[in-house]
Amino acid sequence: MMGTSFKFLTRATDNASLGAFRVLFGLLMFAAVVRFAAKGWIREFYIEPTYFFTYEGFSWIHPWPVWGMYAHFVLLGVLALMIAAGVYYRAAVVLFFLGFTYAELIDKSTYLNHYYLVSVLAFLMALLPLDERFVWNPFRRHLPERLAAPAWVLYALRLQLGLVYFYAAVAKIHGDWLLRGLPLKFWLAARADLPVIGPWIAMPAAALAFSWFGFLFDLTVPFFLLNRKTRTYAFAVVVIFHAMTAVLFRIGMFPWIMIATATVFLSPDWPTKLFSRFARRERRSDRVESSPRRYGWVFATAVALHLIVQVLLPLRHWLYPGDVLWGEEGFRFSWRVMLTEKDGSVSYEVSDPLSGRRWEIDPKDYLKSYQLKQMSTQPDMIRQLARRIAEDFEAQGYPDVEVRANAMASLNGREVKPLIDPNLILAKGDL
Amino acid sequence: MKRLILSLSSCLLLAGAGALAWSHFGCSKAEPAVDRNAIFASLVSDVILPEHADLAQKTQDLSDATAALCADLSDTSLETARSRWKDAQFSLKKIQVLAFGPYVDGGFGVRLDFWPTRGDSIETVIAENDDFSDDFVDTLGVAVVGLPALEYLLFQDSILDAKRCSYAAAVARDAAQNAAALREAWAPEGGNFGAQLIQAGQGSAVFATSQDLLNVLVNQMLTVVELLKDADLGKPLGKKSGGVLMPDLRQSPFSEFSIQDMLANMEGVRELYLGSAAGQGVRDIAAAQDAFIADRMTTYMDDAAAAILGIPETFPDSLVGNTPVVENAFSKIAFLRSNLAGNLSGLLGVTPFFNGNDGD
Repeated sequence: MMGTSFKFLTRATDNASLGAFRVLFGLLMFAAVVRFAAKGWIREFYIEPTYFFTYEGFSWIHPWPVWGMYAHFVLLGVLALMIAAGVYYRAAVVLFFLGFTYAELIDKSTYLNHYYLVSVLAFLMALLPLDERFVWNPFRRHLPERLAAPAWVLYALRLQLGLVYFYAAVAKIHGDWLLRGLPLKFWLAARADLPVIGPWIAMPAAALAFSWFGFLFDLTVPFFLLNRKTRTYAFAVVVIFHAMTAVLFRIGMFPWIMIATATVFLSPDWPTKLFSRFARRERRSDRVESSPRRYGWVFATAVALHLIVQVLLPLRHWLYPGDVLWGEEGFRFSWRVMLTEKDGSVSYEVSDPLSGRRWEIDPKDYLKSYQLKQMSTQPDMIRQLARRIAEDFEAQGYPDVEVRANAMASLNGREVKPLIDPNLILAKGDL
Repeated sequence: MKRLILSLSSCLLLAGAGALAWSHFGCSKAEPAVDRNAIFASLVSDVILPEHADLAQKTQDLSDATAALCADLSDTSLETARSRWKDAQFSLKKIQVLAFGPYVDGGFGVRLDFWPTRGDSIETVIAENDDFSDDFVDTLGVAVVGLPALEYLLFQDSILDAKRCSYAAAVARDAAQNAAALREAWAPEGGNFGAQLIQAGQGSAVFATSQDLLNVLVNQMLTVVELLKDADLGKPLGKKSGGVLMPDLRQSPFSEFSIQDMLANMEGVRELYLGSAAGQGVRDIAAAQDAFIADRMTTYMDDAAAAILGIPETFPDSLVGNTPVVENAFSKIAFLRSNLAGNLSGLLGVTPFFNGNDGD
């Protein structure tokens, strides 16, 4: 059994789709970086804010000075192109992973599932030999190219992407999504102006139909993509589905990343089939096919560990009490995509037991509007800012102040209720 | 395997159909779908245009009364002018919730309602000039004109002075002209900004989608309620000053009109939400999602208005002598704000604060 599995995973597989995956990923990341800069988000997200919600264990990560942040994104763009071309691939993808993840770790407010996906994929790509096809390296000529890679390389990428879809489906097994069509009901009603489909999608029944379609799509599409007979149709559905989400919702690069990465489910030789003339030329060149790789087992082990973490990480919310959509413990890094319409408001009450004085602190004094929106529904961020407020009061000569939050929020249109007990002391002195 | 897939598919389809039926017959509290543009049209014709016409009329009345005061520097004329100022001020505070479009782009809002008043600057203008023609007033900055400046002038006995009154009359004329221009900017026969609302998402050059306009309307309500909470009530209550009461930070301190200012703000918010008695408002769009929540908003608005109305005059007296009543108003406004930001925004798919980032 073990032997069969080992043979199955190590058998030589056409690596054309792996090369294409790398090229598409690199080009999309270049586009994403250019788009990010063009929208002014480098300044808005990393230069203008005076306070950043750092991740636990990563509070040492701070933005570069102004010129450094711009240089950082220029470098990310260059690295993305290097990944696409396969130029010094390993170094480029490792640096891209570090650089992209660094930017994401600066502030929780900018967390997005697809940014996380980029980091995860870049990390995985750094462990995989994706630079053996479709390489254009002007600095090195006569590269010995391989036509094949061990099958596990392809399966690792497929499993990673399959996990995204699978856990996105699991997260949708919730009364709001499956029984009430929430939050799509609100979001689709907001698109009632769209030509032709607008009035239809604004109907409550449409929200429920979209919810179920979304759930079934996420749950089944990896399997249909894996099946040779259904693969082509499933990929067409992937394109239509994600293109539709791009039209209906403001989700930036996410649909395009999902479409591009889904190509890894196609036949491993799809690029050579698609560009058959190019493929004929390629076959005439001198290459080594699926020869053993140095330290291949080390990379395979690292990939296996990575995938185990990816399987377990989205399940960690079971360790916490309550609805993950409300308390959000274990919400991030678990592919809970587009599940909530959650809005709230927060004000802090600072009291000094010694003097009896009380202040109401508006978080707007500390935050940019997008940070405020994110923070107002996420208890861990509310607590983080409370600590900062306590520190500021300590610096002003009030070392023993108690900081409480009046945080009210609504989940998926329900009545507003306190997100945190207003009597709970979130920060006190040096606590 | 095929049977398993078939069985699973059948189960899922049945579950989906069940959910559809349940949502349709079992849990729906929503009113029928609405025509958003019809609601916007109703708001424009029944609320926005009449309110702007009212402001134009009230500021004209104020201008006339101030001119009459200058012609007859008597206590009676002064009382009339002060009364007209209050009428105009109430009208101005009502349209504060409509502080978008011409109000902002035309600079009318800041010209009519720059606050806090800069008494020193006003005194300097009066001391250094003798002729207060319309052309001269046109050249003055916003800090020395508008209804707050007029309040400063009219609600001090020193107004019974020909030169000061002459300046007040010029400022009143300027206010009346600006209010008339603001009305014109909205009116069909003028700038017709109202058409931009009516055609939101249907060719409007300003509001590409009806959702864009809804975003603006809900955020306007939110902004006014937030100002009521933080500036009008919070600052005097000492929320920013460690609990030390700050009555000097109240609005309209010379006329002691701050409670009425707040009531006018709330009335404006309520009108935008409910529309006129016969018309429709933002509430109707919300009710198409959840009528129960939509009506709760009305209750919270009424509660907040009642709490403000419950503050005995004058505001500084209540602030010092009856703080719990003012605190109660603050709590009700804060609660309303939480519900607007949390519930109404969510129900309508509105982003309470500008957020440029992609969501997912």
